[in-house]
Amino acid sequence: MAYLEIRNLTKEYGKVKALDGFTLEVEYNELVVILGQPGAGKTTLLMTLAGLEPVTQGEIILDDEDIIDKPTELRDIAMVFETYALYPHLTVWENITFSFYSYRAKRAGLSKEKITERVKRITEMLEISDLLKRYPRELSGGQMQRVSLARALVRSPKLLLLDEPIAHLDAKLRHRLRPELRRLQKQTGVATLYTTTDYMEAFGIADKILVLHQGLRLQMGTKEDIWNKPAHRIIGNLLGVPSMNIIPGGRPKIMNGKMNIFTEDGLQIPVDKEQQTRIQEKSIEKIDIGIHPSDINLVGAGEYKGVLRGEIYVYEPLGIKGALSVKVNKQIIRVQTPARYEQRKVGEKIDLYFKETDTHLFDSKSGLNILFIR
Amino acid sequence: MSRNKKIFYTIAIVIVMIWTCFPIGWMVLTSLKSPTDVYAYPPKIIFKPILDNWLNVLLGQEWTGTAYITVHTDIPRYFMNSFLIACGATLIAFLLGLPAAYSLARYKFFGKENFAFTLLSFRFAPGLIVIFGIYQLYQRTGLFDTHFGVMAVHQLLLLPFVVWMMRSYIAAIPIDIERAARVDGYSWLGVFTKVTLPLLKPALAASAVIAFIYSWNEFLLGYVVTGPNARPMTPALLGFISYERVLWGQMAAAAVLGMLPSIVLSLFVQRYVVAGLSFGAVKG
Repeated sequence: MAYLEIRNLTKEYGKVKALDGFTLEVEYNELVVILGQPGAGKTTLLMTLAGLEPVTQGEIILDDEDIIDKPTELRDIAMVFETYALYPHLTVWENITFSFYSYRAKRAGLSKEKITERVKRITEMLEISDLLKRYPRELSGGQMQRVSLARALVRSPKLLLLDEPIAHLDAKLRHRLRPELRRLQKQTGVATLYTTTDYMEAFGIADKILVLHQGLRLQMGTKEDIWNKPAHRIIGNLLGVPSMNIIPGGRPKIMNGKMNIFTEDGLQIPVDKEQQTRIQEKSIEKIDIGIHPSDINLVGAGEYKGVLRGEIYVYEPLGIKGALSVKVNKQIIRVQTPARYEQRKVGEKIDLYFKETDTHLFDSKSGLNILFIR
Repeated sequence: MSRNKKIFYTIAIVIVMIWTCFPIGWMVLTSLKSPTDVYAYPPKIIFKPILDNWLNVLLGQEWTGTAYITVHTDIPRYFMNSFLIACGATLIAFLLGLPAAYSLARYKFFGKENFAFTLLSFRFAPGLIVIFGIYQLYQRTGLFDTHFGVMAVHQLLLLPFVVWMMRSYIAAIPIDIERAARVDGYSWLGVFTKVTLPLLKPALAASAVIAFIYSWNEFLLGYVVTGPNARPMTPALLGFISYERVLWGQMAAAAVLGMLPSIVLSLFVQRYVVAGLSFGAVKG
């Protein structure tokens, strides 16, 4: 049995299902990132785990104990809120030690020396030892985030919930804190659920990623699993900057024993053997084709046998890389380019090359990757 | 701002200040006048001040022309009545109103906004429409001329005010802060006492002062439901008016005394009083 098991969790707000039969397994010391767009149900999931929202149906087993009927204050779960939720009337020290003075904690009777020792260890780890006498209003965003983290970690909880903890920080600080969060999680060894809308954050820190959409679990796996075999068209939209190109409404046809997909506006996309078998097995009639912008080459060689011919639409420099938009018939295909890309003129003809194995085929109706259709 | 506009605004402010402060100032002067000076025409601004009215009102001392004699005065007792009633009414309003405000701010339930508006509507209704019913009810239930009876009837004014004020203050506290305290191991009561109440302290203090002032200044309801025992200060001033004469000097002294708690408390919470006064008209 996993350390945390969520079975068939459903949460309804009136007629709206924020979580629909959700399941999840998290091992001890594992960091699982819940990736999804705003409104996917990420925060609802954490709220129900923490006991802050009642559950309509389902089970939550934590460390072999069903906690579904346990009140929040008895679940031994710590949470870092998106808004940090520091107590404004208390100093940093008082915020961090607040949990030790609840009725239950006082009964457990942790000595003042032990509390001081724990706080010292955590605050040194988070580099906030010199902020202990300040009030939250005197802290920067990054400092508040670390105090919030210290408040959660100092309790040595069974489960740590992080609700988009660095969402409101500037890009530079987010970039710096990401590896720190992972290092802290590994150092403390606490099972952690982390929610985010940013795929780069997910890829940077997660042991496993779970993609959530409208309360439904779309896919769970490592970052390689999610990137190389996205289970749903929606996942393609979440990944990459620029995100996956989706060419809609293609129909498969076999010509000379080889299957190609022909789109309505005249594009021809080759299909590899595994996908061809699948299409035939499941009699899939209409297919959306997904290709990562990073999987498209501007030079045809070797396995890059697929070709799309178009004309340059626009080029966007994106810092360490660029995004070239190419108009292919009526479709705009985006290609990731190196930072030092020699820009060509808008309207100039250009060929785009890709490997058959780099295309991701999704059933047009359900949006599911054809390799995941049962 | 142009120079002409500045002059205009200054003149306007001076006029408004004279308009509002003149009656109070005149009342203070009247409290220091002899009966002759009170009735003098044209009215006297410069006169020989005396303390007779104050001695009469506070200590029951009356000047006969040759010596002071002791007479009965109820004004200190009415002052204490008002103090007791205002304190009690404020306490009751918060004991009942704070949980109601919290529920309105934090929870969803059927008929929530209807309930809130109905409560608010008690403030709109003039006292006249309830006084007859309340008078009869109080006579039959034995609440007439009791301090508790006045505290209870003042809830018509104070409870809507407290609920609406505290509701908006509680709603302004981010709910995540309370959730964080729950996650930190505190029960609902622990969260309320250790987190919510401390954050509400300034709002509680200001609302309590405003509620106290409302109760202190209230006239009609206090007059209708009391007799000589529990009468508050404001309706008690009517005792200085009789068929034969009006004791202007003593009434002025008693009125100035009655004003003092409101003025002193208002100075402590000036900016909150403005918000509170705009919530509803001050009665009394």
